[in-house]
Amino acid sequence: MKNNINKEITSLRSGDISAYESLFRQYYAALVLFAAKYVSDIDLAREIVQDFFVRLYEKRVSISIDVSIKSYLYRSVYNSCINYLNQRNIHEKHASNIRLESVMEEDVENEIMTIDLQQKIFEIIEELPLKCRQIFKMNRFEGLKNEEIARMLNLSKRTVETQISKALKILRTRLSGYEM
Amino acid sequence: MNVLKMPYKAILKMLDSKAQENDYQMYMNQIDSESHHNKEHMRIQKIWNESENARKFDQINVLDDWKAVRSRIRKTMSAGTERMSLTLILSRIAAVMILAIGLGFVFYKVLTSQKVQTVKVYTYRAERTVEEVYMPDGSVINLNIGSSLTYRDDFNHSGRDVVLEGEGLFDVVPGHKLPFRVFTGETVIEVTGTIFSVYEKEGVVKVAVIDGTVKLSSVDDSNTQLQISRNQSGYMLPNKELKIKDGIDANNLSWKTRLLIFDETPLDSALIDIAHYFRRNLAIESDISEKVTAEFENQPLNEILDELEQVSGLVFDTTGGSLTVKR
Repeated sequence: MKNNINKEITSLRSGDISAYESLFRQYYAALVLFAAKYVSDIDLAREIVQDFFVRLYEKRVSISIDVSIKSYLYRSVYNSCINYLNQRNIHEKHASNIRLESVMEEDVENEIMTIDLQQKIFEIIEELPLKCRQIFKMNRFEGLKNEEIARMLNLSKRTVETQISKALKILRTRLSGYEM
Repeated sequence: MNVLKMPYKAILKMLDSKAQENDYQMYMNQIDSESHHNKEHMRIQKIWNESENARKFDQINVLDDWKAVRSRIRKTMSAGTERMSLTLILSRIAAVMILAIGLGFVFYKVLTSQKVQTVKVYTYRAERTVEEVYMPDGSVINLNIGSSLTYRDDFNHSGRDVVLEGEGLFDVVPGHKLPFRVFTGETVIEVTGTIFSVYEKEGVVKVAVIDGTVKLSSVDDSNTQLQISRNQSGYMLPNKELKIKDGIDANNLSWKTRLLIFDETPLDSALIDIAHYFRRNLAIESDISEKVTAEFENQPLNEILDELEQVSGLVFDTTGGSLTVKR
């Protein structure tokens, strides 16, 4: 694990743009959703995280990272959100500070764990067999009822149910090493 | 870790909250009331609930956003140089063209010049397209197709040394305490902040400086240095003799600018530039006395040759990776 940490940080420092791209691909979406929890706007969250990734690349040589890259990324994005909210509060004098004060260290940790789990689930869903994935997504992502899915795909309701339980079983199995 | 066997279909009915009393009874009959079954049920329920929230990942276009970030990185890295027209390149920046062989030796020398530690070496190779390499000090290097660049992971700490094989355009960040050195063939080019292109091939080193100053020397003899200034070209010949002349070639950076410019240029010289640009071996099998004035921007070889055929009456053959000229 330690080696892995060093490897990620070394490749960040090297300036290798394709290594930077993999880092971005791995964490970007999760960081945006994490930021969105605090700034309550997905586009604003995207902006904050993109700004952060541009800055990180510029100062990659001078930064000191003594934790895992993941902790560093979340910590930095969290700070960026707090800075943003603080600045906004300066401009909007009457804005309440409740959101900031309520953010406890523990909440942040829980938030990261939840997003992490959602990302893993999403990645597994994306790797499900085609039919299974389609049906599972229609149920979970589009909120369709099994009867509706069956009608739309010209399948029996029983087949739809079987595919969904198959997907759930695969998810559970693939997440077996995951602390929940 | 083994996952407990659970009645997934029955669980799904519970989770879908459409369970009837008898469904619930059936489910309870299928699992025992032991705590590990309950815990497992809780885990599955959590996955089920979070799988709905996982939808949010589907709504973020990571690829598009990466493109946005990457283009912003490019802009900040090349701040101050902007996108350059050829004229700007020719008038404002330093360009260095280098032609050389004997890579292995220098490569070894640079990379082993310090005590053997756990030093990592990075090599970039432009396989099919011109590649941009972002260096840890903020310098940007464009590599022509077929060229490679190597540096150590302590670049920017103990020095700023790179080894070039082939051809590159260097945009070196100025005002750095460490000199930026390019080792190529049997030469060293030292700069303190400028843009220059490098081309090494077959024993000859050619350095063309458009603005600023660079120093060219042999790796074996750093005392004999050639200082090349604005609008000058310097050479190292295969016998290691250093030479300097005024002026630079207009098409030094064609591989980067995608622009070939000829202004009353003898056609044989123009063909040398064209052959270099398209990476062809040139064979001229006829006397040529014509001159050519033309600009070709991002045009394929056959188009350029068609145009030249019409004005010159020459015949071009491009079979077998060569460019043969006949009358």
